[in-house]
Amino acid sequence: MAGEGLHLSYEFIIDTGIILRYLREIRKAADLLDFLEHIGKITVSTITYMEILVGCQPHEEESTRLLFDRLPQHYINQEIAEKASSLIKKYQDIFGKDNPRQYPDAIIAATTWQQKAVLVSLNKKHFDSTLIDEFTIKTIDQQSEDWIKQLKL
Amino acid sequence: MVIELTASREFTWEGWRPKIGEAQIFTQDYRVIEEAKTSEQSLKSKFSQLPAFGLWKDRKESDEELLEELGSGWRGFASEL
Repeated sequence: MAGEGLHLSYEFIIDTGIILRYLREIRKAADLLDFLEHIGKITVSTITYMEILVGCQPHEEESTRLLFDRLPQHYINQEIAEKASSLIKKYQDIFGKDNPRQYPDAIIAATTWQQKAVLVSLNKKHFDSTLIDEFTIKTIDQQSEDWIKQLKL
Repeated sequence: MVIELTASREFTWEGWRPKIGEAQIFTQDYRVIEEAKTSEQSLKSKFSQLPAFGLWKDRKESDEELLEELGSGWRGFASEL
């Protein structure tokens, strides 16, 4: 897998799926965030923040904001928009119309590319099927006992 | 820095007799017993201790259904074309 033997203090961009599992009280997601924050910097795309807020009930928003206070956000800019559109065109298997999360996934991926970061995702179905040259992805098998070991850092 | 407080009394017991109204003199000092490596990281609480952990634990939808719901609203404008 690309990016094996990463230097510590890398930036890890956490995708929406991992935050969702965290909100669903999956301990492995919380442990993963602790681990990545310990060895590097963890961030999210502002798209992830928007998506999670969309799913929140009004009484859940304050706690959610507190979580995202801990996760610095990357805002979408012109470069990210251009990179996202090029990823959608180039990788139709991943970011094509068959993926209902086509746009947010592409923006999160483009943010990772722009930041020269590592995308951490549970989406093995999409990301393991195609080799992506532009950025590094670490996919985790959701069913595995040890998510941290799955990173193969 | 971790410090240990130490105290000493500036007198000896020899020949000492308590007198009414006499204050005992103590001096307080400290010595470094360990250099602790502190960082911003060590001051942060674990993610599982944040109030958001488990906020959606009672949601009935599957993970995939929830993810689709969160990320599929993009087709709204396109449907008006």
